[in-house]
Order: sequence, then structure tokens, then C-alpha cells
Amino acid sequence: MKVLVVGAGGVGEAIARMTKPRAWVEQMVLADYNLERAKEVQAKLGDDQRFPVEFIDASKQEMVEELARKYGVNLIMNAVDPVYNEKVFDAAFNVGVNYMDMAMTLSRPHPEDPFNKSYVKLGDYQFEKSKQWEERGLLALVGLGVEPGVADVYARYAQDHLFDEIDEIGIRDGANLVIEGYEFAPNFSIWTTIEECLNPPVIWEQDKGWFTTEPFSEPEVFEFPDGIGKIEVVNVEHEEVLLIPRWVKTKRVTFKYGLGDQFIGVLKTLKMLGLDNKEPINVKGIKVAPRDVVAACLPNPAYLGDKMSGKTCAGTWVKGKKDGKEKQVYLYQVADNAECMKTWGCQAVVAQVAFSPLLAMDLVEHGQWKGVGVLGPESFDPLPFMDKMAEYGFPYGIKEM
Amino acid sequence: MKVLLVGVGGVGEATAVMANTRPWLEKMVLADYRLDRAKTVQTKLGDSERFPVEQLDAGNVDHIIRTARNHQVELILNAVNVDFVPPLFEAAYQAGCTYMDMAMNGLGAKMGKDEFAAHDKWVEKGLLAIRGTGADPGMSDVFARYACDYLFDEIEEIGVRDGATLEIEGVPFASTFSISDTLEECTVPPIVYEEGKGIFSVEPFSEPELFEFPEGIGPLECVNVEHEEVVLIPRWIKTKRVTFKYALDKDFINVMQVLAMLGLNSKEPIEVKGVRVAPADVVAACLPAPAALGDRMRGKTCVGTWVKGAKDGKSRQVYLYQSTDHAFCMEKYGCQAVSWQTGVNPVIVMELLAEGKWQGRGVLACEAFDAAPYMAKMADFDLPYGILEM
Repeated sequence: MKVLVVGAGGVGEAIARMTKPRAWVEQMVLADYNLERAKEVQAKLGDDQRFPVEFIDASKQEMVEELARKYGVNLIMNAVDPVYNEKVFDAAFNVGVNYMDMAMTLSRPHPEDPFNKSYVKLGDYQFEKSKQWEERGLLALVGLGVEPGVADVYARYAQDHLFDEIDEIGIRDGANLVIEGYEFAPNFSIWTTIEECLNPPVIWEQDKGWFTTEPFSEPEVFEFPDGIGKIEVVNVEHEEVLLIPRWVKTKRVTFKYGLGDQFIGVLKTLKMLGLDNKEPINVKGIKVAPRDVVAACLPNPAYLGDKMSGKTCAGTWVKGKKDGKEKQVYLYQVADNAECMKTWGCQAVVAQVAFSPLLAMDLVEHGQWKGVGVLGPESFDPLPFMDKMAEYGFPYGIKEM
Repeated sequence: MKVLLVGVGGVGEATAVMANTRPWLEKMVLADYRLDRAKTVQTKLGDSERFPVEQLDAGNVDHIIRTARNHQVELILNAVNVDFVPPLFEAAYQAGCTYMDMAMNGLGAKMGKDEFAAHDKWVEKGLLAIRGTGADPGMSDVFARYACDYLFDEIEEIGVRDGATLEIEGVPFASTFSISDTLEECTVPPIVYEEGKGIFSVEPFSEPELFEFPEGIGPLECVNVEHEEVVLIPRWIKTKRVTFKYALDKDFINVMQVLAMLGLNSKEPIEVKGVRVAPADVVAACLPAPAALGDRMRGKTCVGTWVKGAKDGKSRQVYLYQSTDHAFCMEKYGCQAVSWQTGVNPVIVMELLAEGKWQGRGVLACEAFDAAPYMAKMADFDLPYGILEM
């Protein structure tokens, strides 16, 4: 398999590092807007032939297509901010290659009633084109990181193997990561974090379909496993809520994230000041998007690994019935930063995101996952995926609740 | 008098509007980086001969000198943010003009240091620079000098206190004053002066105290903020302690803290996707311009100087203040209260210079001059003062 990775940030680097020992990946092109960054990752890999670098502007679809053709890749792996999803997704279709991403095309809030009604939803742009992809015999596997991704595989596993009937599926994400020496440093792309945290969170219910609420609504204390403990989590807009109801039968789907008061305070302030704006504004004659400036002010999460300590947990809490009895389980994956640094040289949050697309590529390459059209992770058999998680260094856990 | 006004933001506009009412003003050049903005103010003034406009880069010494010479001005008034003090100060010296500003550059105790160091040079050339001639610093320093000369035998402490009840409708967050300067003064360590100890820094937003402001504004929590008076007052007035406290509400303090924590208060350009831009400029560009807030504001602002000491063997405390009502200055002058309260003061100073009531050589500040003629003029400028025994 030949892969074009668009974006050599923290996650892109981790994908490449994990790919290195997997011989079935013949070539992986590392393309980034910042060529120096791509070269830096290439140098760590020590195999320039197998991991060539290229400059790419992901906002220019023809440039993505050109690179895919130049290297004759079979798959375009999208690892940039989701603002570029439409271009990268369409580029794969035009070139006629498979596509994967770890976040879906962006939503747009309802113009009149943003905190009640959904409008343009995450992934709408992609799912609307499913038929065309199907007709061309191409596969777009969308939302396959850890969340969305592993969390969706868990939901499908719960339906197929653990429950007779499911009432609610709630993704719960929490961490006890500490970054030394910084008063404030996000452990993931701040661009994406602002996007998902400030957009109206989306919820799905059987009778109502998709609807939205206020940002940071419905706080609840969730007890995370492996010593992470109790953390307050709040509603956040996330892909699982859009993906799971398409393939898994349930009455309700939510996503809640343990952001912490400080983080929520910062996000609220950025919003109040308009610094979350992703559109360029005029600053003394220069056009620049305030959100890009915020991102540029903060330390790059790709370089924070050795200053981080603690664990991060992603998982799926399922409530329902089995053999006529009420049942609740939490299926999860916990990544320890020290371990990820030791094994991969990558910090825990990006490493945990990165292993799943590679595992999915493995399943597609070896015929264990087959499909055409625009599909989410829960449309495939969860067993081969979960079987391989430990081998990839990220074993799953299941906790009865 | 012919004046080059550099910076026609909210404050510069107020200065020009007030200067327009003064017969001694022959010409005031409205110079701004954005010519459109200068033209807007010119149109409002309705006298393009007396108020010509110029596009000016306040960071370019040669450009400033050329503009000053072209218009044969005798005074340069700096109404841009403090970053441009060094080039404007230097240009005034080279062009042989009087220099005035409303804020000082330099961190903490070093505020104004470079310019004060040039004092002898300015004296030799027979030139005058007056630092800090706005409301605070400026009027607040005049009050300190007045207290020293006329109200006290001995002064223990001088505390400038600034508070407002201003509300802005329809915007979730706005700064009534240059956000760039506000960010700077609120995120660098505040300073305090004490006899024997000199000037030292304290924690941002420290020593909260409830101060009762007059004219119906009422009690507001004030905190330490870095400000020019702490450097200026002890240079000319004998006192044991000088502080500056600003009434900042908790939400405002939180915004300042978040911006500082994220590094968004930085004035140093950083690289953002191929362009170079200073985060503080981006913050300013995201917020409504203070000059444009006039229609949506309501309330009063108060600047004053709280003096504790002794007179005739008895201890005494007074608060000398000026309170401006927004609706009043909007209706009469079309300017918002904070900009107006600041921008009028340099016009009083220019009038005192024009009439020869204030004279001097070298690099000075308001407390180096007699406060009485200044205060005698305040009511005439619709800037009446009050004195409250406490």
C-alpha cells in the first residue's frame, strides 16, 4: 500500500512512526504546509525513500491530487485540521483512491436557533456524496482516530456482542495529563479543540433525531478507570453522535469531554473576544484569522511529550439490556504518556489518535475490512479491529458498571 | 499655535474637537496611519484648512520631521500608543518642537527613563517636553501638585483612583480605551513608590480595596495597576507613598489574565501561516474600536487623586477628582466619555503654554508646573473638578 499523509503534525508524525515497522506499507508520503516540519519527522524515521516529504497546501485541491498521482498512492490519509476536509476528500475521489480521516467535515450552526436545532452537521458534506463513492467502487472511511474511531468500533461491538437492546451510548473522554512548565498548553490541536468546544454540541435521540444544546451543557461527573478517577465532563460537538446512529440501534447518543474549569474559562473568553474566529480579519493591513494567531501563540502539542505526564482515556459507555437484565459497560482505551514516549517518541494524546487509522489500513489492506461508499468505523465488524489493538500497543478494556 | 497631532483615534478626536473651540489654535494637523480615519474626524470638524490631514507612520522619525516642517508646527502631540514615544520624542527634538504625550513607555520603574535622561539635552536646546498630559497621568498629577501646594503641610500618601460605571450595550466585551495600552498596563507588574524603598513592583491586580467614588458612581473594587503617576509624582512631590489603583471588574480581570496566559498580550510579531503579526494587534482588531463605542455607552467615569496627610497639625484626607458623564460629552461633543476625559487635558496644557502661564525647559511632567492656573481653566473646558474631604 502507498499512502499520502496530508499533515505531518503531532498525529501525522505518530502515524508515520507506527508505520515504520509495518512492511506492508510500501511508501508513505509526508506532506505538510511547513516543509521543515515534514523533514524533521522524516529525519526521525531514517528512511527517506520510504518516507518522502513534500510541501502541500491542503486548501488547494489540485495540489493534493497532483501529489497523489505523482506517487501513485492507493490511499489519502487526511491528518490536517478538518477545515481542509472537503478539499482533501474531493481530491481522493477525483484521483480515484481510497480516503481516510480522523475528523469529519465541519458543521455550521443553525442561523436562527443554534442551541436547539442542528443545521449543517459534521460529515454532511461527505455522507451526501456516499452514492458517488459507491458507484466508483471507492472507500472513504471517515472519523477513524480514537474519538471518533475506536469509540465507534466499541459501540458496534457492544451491539453485536454485549447487549440485546441498547438505551444509550455516551462517549466519555477524560485525562489526568499535566504539562510541566506551562500555565496553559492544550495537548491537542487548539484549532480543532476550539472548533469542537465552541460549536453547539449535538445530541441524537430516537424520537427527535439530531439536535443541539448550549456549549458545555449537562455537566456530569464520570469515573474514569486506571487511576484517572472522577472528572466533570460536559457536552461537546463530536462525530460519534453523527456516526453511531447510522449503524447502531440505540435510543440516545451523547459525547462528553472532561475539559476542566480553566480550559472552559479560556475557551469562553476567546469566544467572547472573537478570537475563536477562523475567518481572516484585517490587522493593520495584514489578513489573518484570529484562531490561527491563538494557535501560533501556544506551544505546539507535537513538542510537549517530554513535559507531559499522566494518562488519557477514551471510551464508550453503553446502557441497555442483556438477557432481560439491565446492564452498563464502559469500553475504553487508556494511553499512558510515559509509555507512549518510550515506545513511539510521541505524546499520549496524538499516539492514541494515530494507531487506529493505521490499524484500519492494515484491515483494509489484508481484506478483513471491505466496503465502498462513505462509511464510519461502526459499519465494519469490530472483532478484527479489537483483536489487533493490543498488538498495536493500545489494548482495550471493558468495565461493567 | 500650530500643532501636529499624531494619532486620531478616540482620544485624538476629542483633542481636536476641543482645540477647535480655542482661538489661539492656528492649525492642527491630523496625522494618522489610516488616512480615512483622519478624514472622518476632519469632516466632523468642518474646517479642512485649520485641520489638514496627513498619512503618517509614527514609527518613522524622518517622516514625522518632514511632516512637522512642512506644516511649520511648533508642537507635536503624541496621541498614539506608547510604542511610538521614542520616534516621536526624537523627531520633536530634531525638528525643534515642543513635545507632549499622554502615556509613557518603558517597564515599571523604568517608565520614561530614556526620555528623562535626555533632560539636559532638551534644556540646552531650549526645548520643552511634557510627559503624561492626559487625564491619568496628567490631570491626576495636577491634582497631586495642587494638594501639595494648597491643601497640605505634609503628605503621607498619594493614591490615584480611577473608576467608572460605564456600560456598553450590545457587545459582550469591549475596552473603553485603547486595548493595546490597557493590555500592557494590566498585564505587567504594577508599581508602588515608597520613601526609602523607591519604586518596586507588586503582583498584578493586587491589594484590592473598595473605594467610594463620588457623583453617584459609588463603591468599586480597585486593584493595583502599572501607571505613570507612580513614577512621576515622587519626582516633584514629597510624599511617603504613591499608588495607582483602577476599578476593574472581575470579568475584565479574567479576560486580561487569560490573554496574558496565552501570550495574546504580546506586542512582538509572531509568524502565523506565513505572515508576521503581533498578537495584541489581533486582539485589538477583534474588538470594537473605543472611538466607535459612543452610541452604545452609558454612565460616568471618574479620575481622581486621593491624598492623605496633615494640615495645621491635623490629619486630613481629600479626593480631588473629575467625573465625566458619557451622555453629556456625547451630546455636546460627539465623543465617548473616556476618550474625551483624556483628550481634553492636553488642550488645557497647550492653552497654558500659549498664554505663557506654564513655561519650562527640559523633559518635565504636569506636577512640575503650578496647578492653580490649570485647575482654574477646567470648568471652562467642561471638565469641572471636585474636592471631597474624606
